Amino acid sequence: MQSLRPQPQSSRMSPLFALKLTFPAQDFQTNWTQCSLLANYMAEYTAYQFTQQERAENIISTVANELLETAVHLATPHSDLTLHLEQHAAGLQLEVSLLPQPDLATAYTAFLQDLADDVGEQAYMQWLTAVTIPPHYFNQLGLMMIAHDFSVRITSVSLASERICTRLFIPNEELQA
Amino acid sequence: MTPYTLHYDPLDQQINFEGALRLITEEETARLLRELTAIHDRIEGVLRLNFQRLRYINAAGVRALSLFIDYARRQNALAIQVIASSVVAWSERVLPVLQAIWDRVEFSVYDKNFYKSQGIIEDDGFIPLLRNQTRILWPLEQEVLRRHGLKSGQRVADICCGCGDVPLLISREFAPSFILGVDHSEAAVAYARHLQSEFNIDNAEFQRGDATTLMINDNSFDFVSCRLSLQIFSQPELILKELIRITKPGGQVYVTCEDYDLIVGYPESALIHETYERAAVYGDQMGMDLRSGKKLYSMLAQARLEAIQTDHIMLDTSRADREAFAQVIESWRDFSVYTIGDDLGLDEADQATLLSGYEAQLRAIRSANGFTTWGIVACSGQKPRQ
Repeated sequence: MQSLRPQPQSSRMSPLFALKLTFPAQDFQTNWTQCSLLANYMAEYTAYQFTQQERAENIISTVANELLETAVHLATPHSDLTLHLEQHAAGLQLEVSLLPQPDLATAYTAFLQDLADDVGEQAYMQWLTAVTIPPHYFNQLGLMMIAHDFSVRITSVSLASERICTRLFIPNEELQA
Repeated sequence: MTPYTLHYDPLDQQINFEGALRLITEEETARLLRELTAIHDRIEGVLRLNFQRLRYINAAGVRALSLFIDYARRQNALAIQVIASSVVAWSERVLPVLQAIWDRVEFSVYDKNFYKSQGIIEDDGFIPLLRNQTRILWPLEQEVLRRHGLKSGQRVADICCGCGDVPLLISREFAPSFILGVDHSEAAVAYARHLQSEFNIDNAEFQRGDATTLMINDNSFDFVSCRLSLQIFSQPELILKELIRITKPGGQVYVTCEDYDLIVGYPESALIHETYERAAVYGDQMGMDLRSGKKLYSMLAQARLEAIQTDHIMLDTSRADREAFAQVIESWRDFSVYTIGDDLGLDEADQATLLSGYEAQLRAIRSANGFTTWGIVACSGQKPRQ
């Protein structure tokens, strides 16, 4: 498989543990419960390495599920999703790379930029109590939730071939309170 | 993972969520909202939303709950209590946002301070005491367990398993097909997992859990034990209910409790007796019933278990290694006089009185002709087949 990962600073160090999986996006788009299934699988596979195993499992699954739901909303049908999980000394890194639907790509990167600046309390509350969701929905609420309630850092990098890689970093302090 | 279920308990006006609330479509969100508002509209007073058994949620699920709280805010007819659990980590982090939507939402984490002595008993400083107790009890208790129906090939659960040494000894001696140990203490579960790797035992698993709300399916174990733990909870019947729930029909529920009325010693009998009388009273003040052994038969009978049998595990200086026994009493002495004593604010005179009885018991143990006991009641019953 070709390497789709960008090479930012944290990835230069060898991970303590790594897991890489590739799936057709359509598998998830036709059966959304696969997101939950995969999030739980990754969490259970990884959590044994943490002292507070149940806590780590629950948080990894919660965060991974939102990332996967976002990716499935965004991805072009018939494209593939590549998921990469790495454990580093300071925490756990989750990456998903995908080919976004053209009408969502710009909105997505702009949204992540806003999110990186600040998880506005008021904006989050508005999303939570919105009676209807907007037409261009790609799980903004899920990303806001994990940024708001968990100490998760979210960044995004554009790759070759118009793919986007989104990276989450969950620090150890979150997984071992 | 099963999808979520929602069960409304009218006795407590409480909605219990269970499973995984990971909603996908707007229709699912609307359906949940309809269910919640329907319950809301037919009651008065306080409505409780209990998430202790909800293992997962997604943002869409949180939005559905938020929409419900927003509905309740606009109706302004009820107060809402939201109950989270530290066992499901998401709930402590995500649910407080519901308070921000409406200030009549009260948020609590059920298993923070859910028994008075929690801070002491769940500290890793408690583990050496547990290990010493097992060291002297196990030679007697394994025979009792056999008499109460523990045998090879069973699926076994040990609830409130502490540092895990007994489940591992059960695995070694009884060859169950699988044994699960559950404890609420992070420190104890971490120790248990470490011990499991030292014992090199594969068919055991340890998990952190709340004994009053176990994340275990109904009817899933042949033999379920809860040893030396019911006495520390103010509502032991809640735990017993869970033990019975997870036991298969026809399976066995086995519980033990110590009883300070069964502790005697000689010489210096009066001093030893008075100390345990006082320790039991101080225990009461900490929410512990240290004389509860005698109540077990009644508890199991009231819970409708069948074929109830009882045993005494009567440890005494003639049947235990005296030095190991002394180490247990030293741990109790320190726990009672200093840890509990400090917690209750006992003055120096009270601490000295308490201390004198433990010292008298230690002299009895370490004297060749001295005698003392530690009495535990073991009780088991069969879950009805129908």
